[in-house]
Amino acid sequence: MSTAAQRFAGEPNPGLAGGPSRFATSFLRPSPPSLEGTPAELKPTDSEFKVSDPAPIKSVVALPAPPRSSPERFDLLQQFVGTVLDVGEETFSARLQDRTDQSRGSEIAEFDLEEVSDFDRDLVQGGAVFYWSIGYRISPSGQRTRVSRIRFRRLPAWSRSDLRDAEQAVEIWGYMLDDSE
Amino acid sequence: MDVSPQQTRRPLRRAFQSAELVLVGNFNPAIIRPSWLARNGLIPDEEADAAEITLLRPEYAGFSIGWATIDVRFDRFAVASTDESQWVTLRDLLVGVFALLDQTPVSAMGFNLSAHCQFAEEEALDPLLSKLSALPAVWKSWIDRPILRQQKVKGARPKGGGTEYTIEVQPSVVVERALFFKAHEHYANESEDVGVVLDILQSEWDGFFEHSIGTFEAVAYDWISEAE
Repeated sequence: MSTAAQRFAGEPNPGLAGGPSRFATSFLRPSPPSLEGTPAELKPTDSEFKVSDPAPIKSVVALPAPPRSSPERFDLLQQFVGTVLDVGEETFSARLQDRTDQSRGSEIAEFDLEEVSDFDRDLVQGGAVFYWSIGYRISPSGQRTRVSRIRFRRLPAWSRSDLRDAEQAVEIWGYMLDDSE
Repeated sequence: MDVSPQQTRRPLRRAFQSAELVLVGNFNPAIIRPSWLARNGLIPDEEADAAEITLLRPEYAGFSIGWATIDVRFDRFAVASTDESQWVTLRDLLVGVFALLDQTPVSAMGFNLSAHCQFAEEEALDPLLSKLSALPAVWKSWIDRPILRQQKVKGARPKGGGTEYTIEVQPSVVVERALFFKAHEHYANESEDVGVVLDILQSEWDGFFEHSIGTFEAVAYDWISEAE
């Protein structure tokens, strides 16, 4: 007797199928842009999770593009958002708020500058915001390593409208100063 | 329905998760390049240099910067990440891009989350799948051996500001002893002002994940409880 799981075998894979073939439908009618995301990036050979047996019946549905495989996975356990308070020679202090449990109050902690990636080092300044993630890095072979990552937030300091507003302010002040002379 | 996670059970293991942020509007793919992101301080130079390019054309930009993939067409701008620790950075990236391109008309925004949620070994999956596949009797008159392949529930997220919130669930055929969930929240933006969209993004992004993951677990364990 077949199990419920077996009854579903052979159905299009929700993660891999990626919806109906765009090629097949593209010349029937233009489809409006969808807000729905594409399916999860899959790694059927990932040893962390036992993958179902391949479908016994070959499907005539158009095959989707092969999934991109990422070299490793990260299982998030805890994430904090931090604000830099003070930067020293080798360390910096920061106020931390737990993003995974926002009911917890903030706390202050000190970090080694060595913990920060080289490309983020210039961003370590008073008031800078960063994300501190603790979790397991899982290699394609299934090796789990507990890691902590710090990534500084990167937002443009000045948007175009900010610059436009500043230019207008300069112009206005210029006129006012000219008039006063 | 109580959608809060049931604390008496240990959380489902989520595998192959993906979050994607999609904007619909009028975009210029020719602008969005890894080098442009780095030049404007939105990603480090090192990530731009190591970007994997899918295709860069005036009408399309597709590339990966390690932790995120970016896909831009004239009418659609999408950023996605499978790394949960970077979902917040995904939001920051989009906020950064459209703080610079602040005259871009954006008519709608979508939040998306998909995950294969795996049950513990001791959970009885068969009764759960049987329940998922149950269909009204009328179908048996018209289709032999009918089963329901997928459930899609549409409504609104409590306390959420979206126009529409949808959850889909079906048995995973990728991960054993798992259900495949997809959550989608749609925000219509009649004003087409990208600033409105960015404000919503900053206020709703975290809540969307918290609620969707809670719903995945609550729905799954509700079925198990009834099956027991």
